[in-house]
Amino acid sequence: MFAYFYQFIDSVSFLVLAALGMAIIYGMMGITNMAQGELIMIGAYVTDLTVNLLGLPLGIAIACGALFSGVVGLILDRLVVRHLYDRPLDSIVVTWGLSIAISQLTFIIFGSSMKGIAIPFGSFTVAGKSYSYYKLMLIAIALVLIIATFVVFKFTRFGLHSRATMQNREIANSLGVNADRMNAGTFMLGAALAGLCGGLYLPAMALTPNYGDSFLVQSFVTVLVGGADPLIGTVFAGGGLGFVEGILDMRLNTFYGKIGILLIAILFIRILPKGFSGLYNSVQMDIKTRRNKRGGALA
Amino acid sequence: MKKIRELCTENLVAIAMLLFTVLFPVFNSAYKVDQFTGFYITCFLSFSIVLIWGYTGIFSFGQAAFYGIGAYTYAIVSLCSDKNLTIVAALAGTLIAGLAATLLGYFIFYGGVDEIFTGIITLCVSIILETFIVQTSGPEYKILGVWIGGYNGLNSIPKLRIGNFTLTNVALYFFVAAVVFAIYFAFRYMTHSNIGYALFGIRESKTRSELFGFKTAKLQTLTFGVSGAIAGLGGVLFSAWSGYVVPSTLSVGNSTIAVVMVALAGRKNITGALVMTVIYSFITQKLAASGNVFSDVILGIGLVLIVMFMPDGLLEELFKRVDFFFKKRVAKA
Amino acid sequence: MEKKIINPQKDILVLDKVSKQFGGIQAVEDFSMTMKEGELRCLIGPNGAGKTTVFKMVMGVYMASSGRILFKGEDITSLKASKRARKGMSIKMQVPGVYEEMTLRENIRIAAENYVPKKDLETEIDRLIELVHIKDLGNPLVKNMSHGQQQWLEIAMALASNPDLLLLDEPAAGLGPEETDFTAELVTELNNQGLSILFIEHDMNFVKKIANDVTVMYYGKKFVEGPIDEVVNNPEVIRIYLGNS
Repeated sequence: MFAYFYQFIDSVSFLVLAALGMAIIYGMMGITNMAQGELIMIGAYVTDLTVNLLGLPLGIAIACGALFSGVVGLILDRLVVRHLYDRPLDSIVVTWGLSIAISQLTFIIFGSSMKGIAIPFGSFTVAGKSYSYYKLMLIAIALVLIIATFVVFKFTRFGLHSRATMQNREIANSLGVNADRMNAGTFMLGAALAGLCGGLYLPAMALTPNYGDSFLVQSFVTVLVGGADPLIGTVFAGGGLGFVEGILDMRLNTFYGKIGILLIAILFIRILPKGFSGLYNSVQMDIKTRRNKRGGALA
Repeated sequence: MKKIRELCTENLVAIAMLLFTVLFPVFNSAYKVDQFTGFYITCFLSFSIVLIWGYTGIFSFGQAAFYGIGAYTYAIVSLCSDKNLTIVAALAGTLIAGLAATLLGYFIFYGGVDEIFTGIITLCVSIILETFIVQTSGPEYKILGVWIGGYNGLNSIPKLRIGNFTLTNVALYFFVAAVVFAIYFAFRYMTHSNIGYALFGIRESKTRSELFGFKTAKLQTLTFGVSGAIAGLGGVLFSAWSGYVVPSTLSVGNSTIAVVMVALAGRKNITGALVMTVIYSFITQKLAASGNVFSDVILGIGLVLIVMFMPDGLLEELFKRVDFFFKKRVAKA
Repeated sequence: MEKKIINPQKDILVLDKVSKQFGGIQAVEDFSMTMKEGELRCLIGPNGAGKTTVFKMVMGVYMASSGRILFKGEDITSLKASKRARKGMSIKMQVPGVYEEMTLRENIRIAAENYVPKKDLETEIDRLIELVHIKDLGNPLVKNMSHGQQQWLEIAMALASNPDLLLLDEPAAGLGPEETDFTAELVTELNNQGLSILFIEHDMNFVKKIANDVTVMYYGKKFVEGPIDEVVNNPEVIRIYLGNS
């Protein structure tokens, strides 16, 4: 039983961490960043180099990785993505081109693989099977990130503007929200979250120039099922898909986990094209209407 | 959109290309002809991308997946018995690829999901399909008694036979070229037909087209299906031509190359796509011989630059410029 | 254009307690309205009163959250936009809904091809271009046309299906005085030929010039309804207009 629970939280934290950055970029800018996997990869490389070359502790190294990915994201946004805000279809192609170039450049500079890092914190045993503390810490970090996103969206000016943008991009633009700066900030934030994800999973995976590809399907599917609201979407999609993937991983293997969540995602969007975000909105609306009607009857 | 009878650069280039294609085997060795057959087969992939991306405004990474489905289906059906089933295999490959695309399109377009997700979904499907085939090396993975072969793919695939005649070398070259030009002319005709304009309308504004009474989801799904079938036919001819098929045949990388060729040519210009595919394939074949690690970097950055700064494409732009130049000359005279 | 045979007793469009919410916002609430065949009616109201939302619900761009919509006696509440269009209604949207990257003739062609046999397409395009007086332009790319020309083009495109009901969202917005006059003439002429027209307009001079009946919306609800002279002199209407815009 614990094995299933462990697998479930492992899947959920993976989906959430892999998708959050991308979900924020999609939700607020309407752009799907195909180079998100490469930003994850860059975060992991910087983490690896900071630990193995500079000898700094892992925690600081991961922060460096996130920061560096954020800066790369900002540069990409200013140089390239900015020109395509109103051409979302083209932005897919262009960010795809970027991702090809970045991963091949990484291969040219660093070769086909890196040293990597051992999993810290050791492990514990339940019913004869061994589990790692580090993976438990990852779910804690995923939770902290979700709460942080919630706080930022609910209580800051940036959050207010971004929610306005998500509700209706055109109206937000016409209200004079400084869309350009918002977008740059958003893209940087999304990229930094990708870098963070890359650094966090470095101890658990082999580091190659294609490192980001391991996150691609999961992060895309999570955003697809989640919809435009990065918070609601990622939480519900991460939870739901994590459940399915966890079970399939345990019963069959990780490949079937991937197939399973992709098939579910394709069926899901046929019924709920706006994902969990859309579902959440309409449920919320229903409750409000009912409350209003009841209030009206009383008055 | 140029009419097919109009005197313009695009049409002159098309005529030149037709002449080149017909005369090529006369002046070249059998080896060269065989090589060029491969280039023309790649045109199917480019055409399917022109149809879906250029005409209908849907971006897909899945075209190589449909190409691969066609290739694998042909291989399996033609290998499953010693009887002469290659025509059946070819039809099956085209049809199954088309149906797979229609089914996927149904889920994407009828739900009304944000269009930019089409890129993501087709990418995921491609990756998963490739991963699946790579891990089918175990003996339990058999379809119609044919072992799929995992990473090593399938070999000794029979050539296409029509009656008792086996299509090889020059015959195969002309067969492929004939189908390529048939699709080419069908596309040229279509761009001036009702269905063509319906697709362009959807590309420019889906909501608006719905208000003019177009069943946009149906049109998008059918077009996606047809583009899958065209890619699938390309895959069929690929495995009949090369005699092998491997998982990387349906890889995302393969789609990317076709996307680059189409972007370079001009996504809305089928003539450009035809010419560019042959030229590009020829050049990369030459370059690949020297094995350059920078080729992917150039490919990626090239794609970025073209789409950013020349969204209409290099050849389309060239056609326009030359037309403009001659019009001015004529006006002066 | 062939003159339509109309029966002024018959309802062409009935909205029965239609509502629409976005997120938590009530854009339109229990809005009811009836239009007879051949009617020329204007929907007015301050900004944000929900007029455009009503239009989009009639056309099927938005689905009504509750209530019923009847067109020519048939319940169309749950029909898709394309089906409603094919039943004989057309719209000119607020922001010109034209295909900017295509030429003038291509635009009309796309609008017409579902309704006109292929052999008659060219003649029909010519007729529509002449009807809205943009014949002299030749065949430019639409993005190179002026705002007014795009508005007329869109009216021509809306007419291509030979509709029974035409919805015009601010046909005179952003037009100069002469252009406005021409638009008014055009709308009146179309109405005289039997076309039922519902339009939204802010320019009160334009409204007074052509409309017979007016429905006033305020905060998503129907405020008053009646002949134009009565409504514009209604002190309540004057108050909501002066108080808000």
